[in-house]
Amino acid sequence: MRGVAGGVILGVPLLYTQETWLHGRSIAPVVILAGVIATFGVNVALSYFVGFRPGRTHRPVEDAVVGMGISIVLSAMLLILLHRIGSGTLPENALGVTALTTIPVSIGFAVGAALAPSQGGEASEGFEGWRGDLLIAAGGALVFALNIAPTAEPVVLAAELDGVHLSLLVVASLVLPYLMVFYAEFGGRDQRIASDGATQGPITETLLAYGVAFAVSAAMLAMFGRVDTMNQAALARVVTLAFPASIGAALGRMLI
Amino acid sequence: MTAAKPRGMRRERTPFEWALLLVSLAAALTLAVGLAISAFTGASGPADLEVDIAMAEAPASGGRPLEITVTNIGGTSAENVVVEVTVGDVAREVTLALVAKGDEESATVIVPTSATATPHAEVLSYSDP
Repeated sequence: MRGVAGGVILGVPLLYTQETWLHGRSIAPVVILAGVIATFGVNVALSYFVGFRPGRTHRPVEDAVVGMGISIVLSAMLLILLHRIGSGTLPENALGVTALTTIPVSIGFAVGAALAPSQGGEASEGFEGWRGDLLIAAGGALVFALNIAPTAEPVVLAAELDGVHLSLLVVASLVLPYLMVFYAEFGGRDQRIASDGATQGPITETLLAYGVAFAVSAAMLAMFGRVDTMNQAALARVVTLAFPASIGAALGRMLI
Repeated sequence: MTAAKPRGMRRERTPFEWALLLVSLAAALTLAVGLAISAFTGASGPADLEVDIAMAEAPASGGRPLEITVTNIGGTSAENVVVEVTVGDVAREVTLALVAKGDEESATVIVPTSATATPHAEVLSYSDP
């Protein structure tokens, strides 16, 4: 789960980039294959020195294979979720886009253990209580949403996603951050699970953090003129942007 | 002299780890072999673009919507595909960012309601990626 969290954190920004969808279908397969092989080499080295398991590993090649394999599956699932590949996509094109997305996801997977400090970040004591959790969630959501909101991708994706895909995106925006924050075995996980109070149970906190990510996404889209009224199209855009924003919110909460 | 970093314990794999390894190997091999097959046996040659034109199903304001579908049956993707649609004296241009090989892309153009002649579409230009 730590590797998946790292992969999602590094992979989602590239997933929301039109050029990835385009180049994944237009670059020669042999060039993409060379990129994947080179990335595998980098993953072996990263697995040896960092890795997604706690402590260094005796099996860096095996860990790199697992990292690449799970990253391929994860990338394909996210691309299907965002309707970038589907039953009508030529297999060659689907492989190209999936392989291109796999590269950053697998790097994130390989450095998963290093993405959050083992004892929480410096000054993390200052973020105690539910207000601190939501504040840092808003900060993380803002960083991710601000990177994507000015681009055309949320509008393009939202226009092409139907109700089923949007609903699945909401589910993914809740489940992935929940698993990242409470199951990924990053530092401070035990304290996060043990937090008490009406708003600090894992499920409640996840729902509240999604609410924060949703609000931040709506504000960012409004700021860049992508949303000016609340209708179905605007809602779809906010839901689309709230997915990476919720990943950012989860990353923020993992750091404290 | 600094002490070496502690290394992970060597231990037997659990059934879950075996399953994860097998699934990962299958996924990695599928991707690598699939890309290799595409590289060495896929279609080759330049882009070959076919254009179809039809009345768009979605209503549009300000005129008659026509849907253009460009299919690439060639061996190379085509970028910046410029398609010209003519209906009698009326001409419209639409640009598609990319039509990947083996794929199709659609766009809609609006012509005046008074343009009732048979619509015609052709690719004016495209560039190689």
